[in-house]
Amino acid sequence: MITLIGILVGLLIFVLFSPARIRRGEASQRLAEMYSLDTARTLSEMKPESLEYKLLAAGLRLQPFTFKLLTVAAGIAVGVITWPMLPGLPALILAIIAAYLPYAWLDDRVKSRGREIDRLLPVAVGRITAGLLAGGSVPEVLQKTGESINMESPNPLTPELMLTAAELRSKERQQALRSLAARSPSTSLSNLAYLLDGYSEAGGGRYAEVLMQISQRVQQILVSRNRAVAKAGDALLSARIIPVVLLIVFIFLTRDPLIRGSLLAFPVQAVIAIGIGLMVIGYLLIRSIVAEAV
Amino acid sequence: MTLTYLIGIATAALLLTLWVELVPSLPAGRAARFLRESDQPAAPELPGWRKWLSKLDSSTARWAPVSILHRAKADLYFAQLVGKWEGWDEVQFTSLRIALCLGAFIFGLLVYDNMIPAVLAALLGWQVPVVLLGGVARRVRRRFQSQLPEFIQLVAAQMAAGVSLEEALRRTSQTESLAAKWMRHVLQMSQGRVVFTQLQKEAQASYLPDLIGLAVQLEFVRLGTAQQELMGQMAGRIAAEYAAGAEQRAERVGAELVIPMVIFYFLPFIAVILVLIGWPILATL
Repeated sequence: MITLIGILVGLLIFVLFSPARIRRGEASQRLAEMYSLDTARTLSEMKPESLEYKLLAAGLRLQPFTFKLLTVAAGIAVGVITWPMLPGLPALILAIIAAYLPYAWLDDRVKSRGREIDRLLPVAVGRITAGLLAGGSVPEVLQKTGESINMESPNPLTPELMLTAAELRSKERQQALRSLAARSPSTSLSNLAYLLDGYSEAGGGRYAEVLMQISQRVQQILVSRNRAVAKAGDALLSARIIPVVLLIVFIFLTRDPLIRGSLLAFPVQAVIAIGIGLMVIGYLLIRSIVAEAV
Repeated sequence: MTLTYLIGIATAALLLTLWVELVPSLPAGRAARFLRESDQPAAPELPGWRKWLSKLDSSTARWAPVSILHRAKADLYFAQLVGKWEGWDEVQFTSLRIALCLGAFIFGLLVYDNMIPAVLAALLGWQVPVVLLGGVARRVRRRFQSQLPEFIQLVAAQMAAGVSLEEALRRTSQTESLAAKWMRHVLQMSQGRVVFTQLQKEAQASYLPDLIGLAVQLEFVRLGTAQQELMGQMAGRIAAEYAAGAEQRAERVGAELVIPMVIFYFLPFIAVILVLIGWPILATL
């Protein structure tokens, strides 16, 4: 317990009093909100596989070094806490899982940026098409659509649209739209960029009728996909509840002194550790099945 | 007993090798026909352990059931689309399964000196590569199927702007989706010739009904007179079919989760409970 308190106090001191250049990255100093134009611009300049990108895309104002330190601390803390209840191998396995989980959570947050864009895209496509049919220019319509969606709540789609609108005013049309397609965390948004590029190339207004038809079909695809993803997500609930129920049964069983004593035997520890590992792998597998279901 | 089994395995392996090496003519089985008809390029030099594994290839090619080879080929097709299992073909993959199955069986015999654990280990060895490949292939296939309708909308949009079907496919292949990546591969493989022959060939190689249907329909569009209109209708139909199918796929997810839940949740839990309860009893004996 003393070790745990020591680790936590050490972390607190580090977070509060360490130099600003370590504690806060350059990007996070400039960005006030996760879903801002600056975030979208900064993200477009980073490598998507880097930890710095993932932290920024997930809205965490942490330096990669700090994040790594926190994951190690989380692993040690979980190991220390679980040791009295599940000594030996199970505690070590739980510590490793605790150190890994923040990375899995971070990856999920980055992917959720794409999912959030997909969720909002049917509305955005409708508004963009309506704006273009009314004779608006592409940058103007993107700007207004972005602003209108942002009025409802901050979201990752608005900065992408705003940044593209700004780039369309300062760069070549194709370059700006291709840039949106390349940096987009959503394939559907990337497709929309190519659609708008085709619209502009075909001469704008004359092509509006076709754009409307195509957009309606894209909207239909996106709406049905979003509905199906939401439905598939319900299945994940049981994958979360079942391990909790199993854990409660396990805790109840370990109240027996004989069973409690057997926790110290290595074969028992090995079986528990393998069981925990399999359950974590199972949860990740189930989550991936649900995410890729539709 | 173990020695008898090991001698049996070694004798069978020797007989198989002699048969493959000394009997020159190919049998008229479906697997052999399938392999003769396949247009695999000349096999490159395999490194290290793959070279050893390739010694099983000729036997595998002769006797492996065609359905197993088909399934492996289809899965490898999609896994290789995202850069996984590069350099493997269906025969080498099946050889890997056989090698792992035999290895696990022999290991089981040596360790347990009992047929049942050895057979269980062999089954595990046979299935592990399929699980690894199948997981990747399933994910890629689903992503592909999910992105294909939008890709078709983009092709239709290009054609509506007055571009030919082939040029529309070429332009749309520059987008970021998996379907676009597949189209880039098709264009690359067609090497400047008419793209539609290659399109059908690749669609057939994927064994994906959606893709085979798409290739056939695109051929109809190409042969038709009102190409833009036909493409528009086709895009509309594909969007409607996708919308109808998405709901059904979501409903199937619950059923798909039953087996992973049993394997990864309930079986480990039962094992933990049995060990927790059984260990004090064993300790007192």
